[in-house]
Amino acid sequence: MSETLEGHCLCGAVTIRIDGEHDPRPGACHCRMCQRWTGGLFLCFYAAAETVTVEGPVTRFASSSFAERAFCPKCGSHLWMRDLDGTTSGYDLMPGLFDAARDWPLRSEIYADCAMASVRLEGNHHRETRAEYQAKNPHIEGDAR
Amino acid sequence: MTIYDTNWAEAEAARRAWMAERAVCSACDATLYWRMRGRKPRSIAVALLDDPSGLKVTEEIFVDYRPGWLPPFEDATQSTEAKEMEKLRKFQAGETQ
Repeated sequence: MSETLEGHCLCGAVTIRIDGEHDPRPGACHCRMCQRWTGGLFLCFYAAAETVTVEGPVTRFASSSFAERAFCPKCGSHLWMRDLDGTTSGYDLMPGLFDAARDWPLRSEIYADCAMASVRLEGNHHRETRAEYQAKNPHIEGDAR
Repeated sequence: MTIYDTNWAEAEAARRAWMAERAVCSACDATLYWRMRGRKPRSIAVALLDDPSGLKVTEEIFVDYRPGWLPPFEDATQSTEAKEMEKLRKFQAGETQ
């Protein structure tokens, strides 16, 4: 999908614009780090780096040796997760920042076997267990934080 | 993109102006709790617990924003945005504690 999308955080200090290719299907992650960060359910969708414009204050937390989690320092809204390898990495953005995301279908779940009992997602979307995901992504150091 | 430090004085002023607050860890932004002003936190992020297995979902709110792939819990009460806004109006008018 390549329409222009605009979203903002809870307090409005941060605006994110996407102008170009992005995937309007959120993926869910149930790993322990994503649970702790969000309080329960982590959802994100992908947008290529060159399509994303960010305005406003942003704080970034390096949650592992290879990725950062960004948030608004004024209201705490989660903004994105992104690889730390510089400016070429795409953004895994929080769909809740964008009004358009209300109608987006769920693309996938990873760490599906680690989901909390209070988070059960319905449908025939792609699912991967912790073991399946970590076998495909050997750089993941573990999620026991 | 610019990286700023949190302006805590500004954040505190904003907090005082609002009816409710959301608390996060200032270092990593982990979600901690939500509470109405002047009340103790009663909405604490489940994922903070090492073992949430004893918990049960008893209440769901703003269900009119529920996506199709997030099914309701059978035994949980279901409340819409309109119902929640009415509760907020009563709280603001001092009709509920």
